[in-house]
Amino acid sequence: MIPQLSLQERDRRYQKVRTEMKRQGIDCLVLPANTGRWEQLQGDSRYLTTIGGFATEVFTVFPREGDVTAYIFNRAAWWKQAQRWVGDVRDGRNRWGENAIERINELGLQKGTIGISGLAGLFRAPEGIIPYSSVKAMQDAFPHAKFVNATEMMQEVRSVKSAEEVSMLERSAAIIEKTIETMVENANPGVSEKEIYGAMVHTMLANGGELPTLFFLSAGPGLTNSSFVPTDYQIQKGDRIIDEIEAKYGGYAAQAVCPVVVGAPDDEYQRMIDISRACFDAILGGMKPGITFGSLFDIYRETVEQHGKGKYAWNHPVMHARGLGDDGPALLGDKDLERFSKIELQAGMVFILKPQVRAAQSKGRASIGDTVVVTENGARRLGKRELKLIVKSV
Amino acid sequence: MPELYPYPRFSLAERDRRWKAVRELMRQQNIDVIVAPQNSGHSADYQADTRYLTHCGGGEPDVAAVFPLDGEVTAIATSAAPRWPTVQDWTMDVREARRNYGRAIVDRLKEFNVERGRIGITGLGEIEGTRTPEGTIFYGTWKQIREAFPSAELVDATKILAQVRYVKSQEEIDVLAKSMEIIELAIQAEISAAQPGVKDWEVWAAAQYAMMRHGSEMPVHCFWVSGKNPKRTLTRPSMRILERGDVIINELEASWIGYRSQGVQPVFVEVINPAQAELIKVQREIFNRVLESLKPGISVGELAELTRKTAESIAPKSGPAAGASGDLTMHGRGAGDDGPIITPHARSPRQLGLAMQENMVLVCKPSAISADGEYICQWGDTVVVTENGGRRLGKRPHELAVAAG
Repeated sequence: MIPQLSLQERDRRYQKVRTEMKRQGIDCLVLPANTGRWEQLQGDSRYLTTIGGFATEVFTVFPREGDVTAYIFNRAAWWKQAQRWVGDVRDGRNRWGENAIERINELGLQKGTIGISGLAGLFRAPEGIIPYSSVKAMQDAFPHAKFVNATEMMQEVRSVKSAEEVSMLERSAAIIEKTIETMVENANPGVSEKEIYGAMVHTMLANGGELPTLFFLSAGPGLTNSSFVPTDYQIQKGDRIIDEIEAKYGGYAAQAVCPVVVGAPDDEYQRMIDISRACFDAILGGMKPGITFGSLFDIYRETVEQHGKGKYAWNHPVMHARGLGDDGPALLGDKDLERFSKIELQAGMVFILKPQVRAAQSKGRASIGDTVVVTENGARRLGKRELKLIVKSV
Repeated sequence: MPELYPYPRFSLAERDRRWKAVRELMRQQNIDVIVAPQNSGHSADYQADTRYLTHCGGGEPDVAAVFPLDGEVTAIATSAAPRWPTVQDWTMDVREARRNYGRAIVDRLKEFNVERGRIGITGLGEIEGTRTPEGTIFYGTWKQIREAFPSAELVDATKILAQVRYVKSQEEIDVLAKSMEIIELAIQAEISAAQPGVKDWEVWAAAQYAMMRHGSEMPVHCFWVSGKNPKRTLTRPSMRILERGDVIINELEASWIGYRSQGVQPVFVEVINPAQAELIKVQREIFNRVLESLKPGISVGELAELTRKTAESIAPKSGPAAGASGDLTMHGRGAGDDGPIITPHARSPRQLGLAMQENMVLVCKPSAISADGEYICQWGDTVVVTENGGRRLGKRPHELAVAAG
């Protein structure tokens, strides 16, 4: 009834995570429930259970040896039937500290090393996603246990996608492109942002997409940024539509950045989009296993310099990983560049590549982008649309 | 001030009312400043206190608030400058977090000289929230505040915001009425789309589309399931193909400026199940009696008892509804995670003893359950407590809906 991943995929993940737990001396993982940021923040918990979507909170206890346990607020019975990965699904009523204590006691790990994924260091939630009182409850219950941060471990495990995961992301990319068709069809003078947004979500859901999903869209003259909420603003001739579109399939979200101009674009905007596209092609051409993120960033900078001729400059972000949410590596700012510059790409990594270009003398900026996967032979796009500024004739 | 986007907003008078009410309670409890932490979980329900105080929110971004007893209120967000001064006119001090909210909160707190003060945190976890028994502040955020203010007293301010938010102003009630209007448009769309051969997911999509094109924000919490006789909604649609005789049961919310009413409306595909047709009569009577009694002073426990006794007294002696029982589910409606709550599973003595107050807004959705437990009939609307009894915000007829195909 809902998209499923195979049991082989489950076993692959479990083996990989448990190997890493053993290497790091972790007896049990605690994976918090938090559906914040369009459910991006719960990627780890869903990765090991497949449970989630539509703001379903799932708190997972994952031992190195023994059964995996998923705690749902109050619909455990259904989730036992709706997925094949986890047999031990319990109603936990969001008493996550109590839930963890119950299961850790059952596992006899009162003095063990407990890894909390989400204690700190998520890309978009550096302060973590587990409530203070849940941590305190566990610390009070198990004074002889050792609590460690397992966030980075899970980020690394999830960074390389299997073929099944890539196929889910391809489905997501296909849904996004249907959504883009709806956007272009509806992008007419007099139509409000809300109407376009609603029509796009309709297309997204009718084709198997899942909510909540990150999806920004704004329209207006000279816009460079999209807002979190669509408004009553009615499109006028000459407006830009700026967007960042994700659609989730089974929790997996590709992304597209697909600017539209209603009427004719101004020269500077068209120029920035052309440079962004040139950067996209140059970086895509350089993406292969073994190349470092630092080298890719050099390609980006050089391409902007070559095409921009001093009038245009590079700007963050350029790329970040795609998957179940808050995936890494993510080059969102200078600190990330420092962290990942010497890290090498691996086959199976999936990114939204959306090199941003800004005008050196004005506030103008622009980008265009698509989701790409690194393969043994280089990288390929998951989307199929022509990657260009869409000009809607009116 | 930057030009504001065309977006619905509350008035400055509403802002001043809220701030005054919260500050009065802070003064009574000697709290110098309240921190409402960022946490966009549960469709941003867990961040409702922040939005309530700052008017910053919508979509699902993380936003925190620092609310002093005296002084300027601060909203803390990522990409703060381009996003939040353009959608609201309540909070002028909007600061950048760059995802490090604890640091930005600490920086702001330092401006208030509260090193030995009393800092209130909503969602600290010592007092249970409606759906957040362990609070909403993340460990990493709490740790930064604790380490920066080792001599300050950190106290749970959850109750202060809950108490102020229980009773709605006329502006809030108007906004919840607008939310209910959107929900009923979504129900109409659902009825139009639900036909044999259509995917459950597509009907859900039609309902969501209706909400969004009429102004609902995303995300919203909408529960849903279809089948021959489903007893409980799920948090999601499925790929199931609808058949004649199916029913879709739901809990639909629409968000207007972040305020969510709720509607519960069973929709049958072409034909109504005969047992449900009888049970809705019992359910309607329970609903109406609860509604009549929704006056200031009545307790949540008394309403639950009234439901049970009403069912006992009106259930027919024969037929599918013979011996039917009643169960009451009610919970507050507003900006998110609102109380009070009464469900078959959440009935703490504290909540059962809570008395209704004028202008509380709740979704009232009692169930009538057949004697053998095989059928559950639930219907619900968002209602306001008044001196004369409850007033529905919805306008649709209280009956089972049929998608005629």
